[in-house]
Amino acid sequence: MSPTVLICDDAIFMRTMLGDILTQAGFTIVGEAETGLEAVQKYRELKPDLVTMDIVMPDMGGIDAVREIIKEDPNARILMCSAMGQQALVIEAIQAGARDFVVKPFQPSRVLEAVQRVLS
Amino acid sequence: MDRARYGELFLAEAREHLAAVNDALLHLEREPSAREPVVALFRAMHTLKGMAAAMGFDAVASLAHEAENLLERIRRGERAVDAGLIDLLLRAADALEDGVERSVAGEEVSAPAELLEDLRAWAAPSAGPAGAGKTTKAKARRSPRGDDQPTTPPGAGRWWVEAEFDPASPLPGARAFLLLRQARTLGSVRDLDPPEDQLTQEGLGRRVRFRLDTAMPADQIRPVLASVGDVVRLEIRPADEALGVASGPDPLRVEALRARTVRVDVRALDALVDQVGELVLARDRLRQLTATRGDPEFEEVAHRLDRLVSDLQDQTLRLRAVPVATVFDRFPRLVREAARALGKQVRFEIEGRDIELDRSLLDELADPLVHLLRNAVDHGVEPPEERVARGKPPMATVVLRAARERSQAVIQVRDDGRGIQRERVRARAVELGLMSPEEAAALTPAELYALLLRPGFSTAERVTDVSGRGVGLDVVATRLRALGGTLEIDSREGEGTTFTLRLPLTLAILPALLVRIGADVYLLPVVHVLEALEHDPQTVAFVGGRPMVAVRDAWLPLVDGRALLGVDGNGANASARSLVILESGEQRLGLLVDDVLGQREVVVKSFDATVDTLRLFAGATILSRGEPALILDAGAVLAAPVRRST
Repeated sequence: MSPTVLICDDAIFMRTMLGDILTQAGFTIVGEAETGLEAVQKYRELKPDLVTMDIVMPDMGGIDAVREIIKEDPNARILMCSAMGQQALVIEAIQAGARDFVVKPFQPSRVLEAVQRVLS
Repeated sequence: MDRARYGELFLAEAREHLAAVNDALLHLEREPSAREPVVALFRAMHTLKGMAAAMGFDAVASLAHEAENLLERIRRGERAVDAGLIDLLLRAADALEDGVERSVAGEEVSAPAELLEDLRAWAAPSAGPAGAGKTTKAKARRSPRGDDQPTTPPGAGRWWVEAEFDPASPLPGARAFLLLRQARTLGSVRDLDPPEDQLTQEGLGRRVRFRLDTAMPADQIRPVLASVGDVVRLEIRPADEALGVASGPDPLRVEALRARTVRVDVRALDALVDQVGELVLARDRLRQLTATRGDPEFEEVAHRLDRLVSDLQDQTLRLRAVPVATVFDRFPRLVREAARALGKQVRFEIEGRDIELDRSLLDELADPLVHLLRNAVDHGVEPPEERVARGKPPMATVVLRAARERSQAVIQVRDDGRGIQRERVRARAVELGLMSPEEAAALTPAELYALLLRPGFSTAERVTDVSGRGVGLDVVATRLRALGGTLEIDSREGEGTTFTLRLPLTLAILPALLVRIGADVYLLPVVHVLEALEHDPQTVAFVGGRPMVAVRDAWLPLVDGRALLGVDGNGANASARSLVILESGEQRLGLLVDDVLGQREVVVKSFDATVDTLRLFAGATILSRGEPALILDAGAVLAAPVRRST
């Protein structure tokens, strides 16, 4: 059975792109979220193997979403998606429990490497 | 470790770090919530610890270690900064300084036990900042830095880990953070470089280094750490092996600096400056010979050599230039302590700390400046009550300012204290029998202040620990004159006093005007020469018994060089003499000489001008024909009209 992924990003473009990279590599996208709040709810519902989490999202930001998810499931495997220049935020997310990060613009090979590390 | 070989290097570098420590502590005292000084302190202590350990100076290393632990807690916001803490850290800095100097001198040094206890007590988890300084009984072994947990099992391996990330790896700081998280699953992490709170900064290097204490063998550590991703190089070495190297400063930074700078013994630099000075003299001699030859080919070579030597001289002198901060930065501490000892409130400001001056000049200036600063705090600044009573803020301001004006260095010490009380100076002059009350009353403020520079003329009523007894300003003035400089005083009663020191930019080479007085050649520093004119005896008049000379629209005091030096005219024609206008600060005067021979750069030879009859001279030099000549002290010549009444 291929690993399941929940993609959290407020931009459709980013969700589509990430989805394509991951689907081609054999992952199953089980859900998408546009806000942090939605990410927390969908995680509860879907229990995916992997979450990709954008840092800046409306309602609840990605970092708070990580905190909420880790609170409920300390073993959650979350990959942060950040833009350049967000180093401090990425570190905050790691402190909150995220396992790794990728930086936009996404390079498929880098994304897949990071996903492997998160799942290993 | 070959101590003899590294001792000097260690000392030079340790002093730099200690200066940074003092500076940061004073910054912290002004701004207790500031972060940079804490980080700077932590780094300096950390580096000192590593250097001292590498030299085997255990007392220094352990002291630095305890200080570092305490600073770590401050950095984490677990300890607030207050006066007690600053005092404790200043004590530690003093003890470190002492320990460093004595260790290098080969003495057996032990860290002061009480100080170590105090540092530990302040770093202990339960000790509140208030009163913690007194708890010398506290038995905390080491500060519980978050880094140190979980505690290392006995017999565990200690490793230095150094990782380098792929240049293509984005956000290397965040990557380093992941590495740390992995490392902490293995054991305890300490001595992290760069420190954890700096990992968030952009533009940090791609290397991270830390010590890892873990029970795991190296071959099991590696895969765990390498799993972080983007690690292109991972070195894991036993801690003992790499201690000296690994606890030094950031390797990236050191490499970069090494490429651009070298350390040179100051003595070698001084010797170079002297040699260049001699070369300048030889060039001058060649210039004279060339002029008499009339050989164009010869002239061309000489001219080229002339330019090369000038450039060389310029660059050599620039080599010795250092920012005034290297000397000034120890003054805040001095002012602070003087103020505290005297119960005064003083804010100390330094202006122009980046101005560069010749190092030898700066060294010579340190003592006079200490004197002037202590003087300002002791005699200039009033006690807080008195200031309030006069409608001034209780906190006084003392400013030390450096500037370059044309070919002069100008350094000022300014206070907003009570100012010089002129009536008391006049009374003192009469009391000492220097002049009649009428003469004293006729003195201008500048002449009055010049009196303060005479030996034994202190009007201070009290003798304090801080500024000592009356040997003050005259010593400063003498020293300055020996350096070819002047000291000026400006003061307003009730508003404050400014001491202005003017010096040639470098001590070694002085552009001078050659003049003949009687049979001998003398030199006048060009910085003080305004112009040289043919003298017309018709322009002299006597005003109030003093000879004055009219130069264009102004009447200037006139001093005859022959009378000044006590030489006769050798039968020279009085009407064919020349007049040199000297200027220093606000003062001007005409000096009558027998001939003006030209301008030349001369190498100043040190000259002990303490004997009273030599007061007129600032130094000596050797002229290009090998004859010695004396350099006239412009400040002393300018003071001559006042001197007349003694």
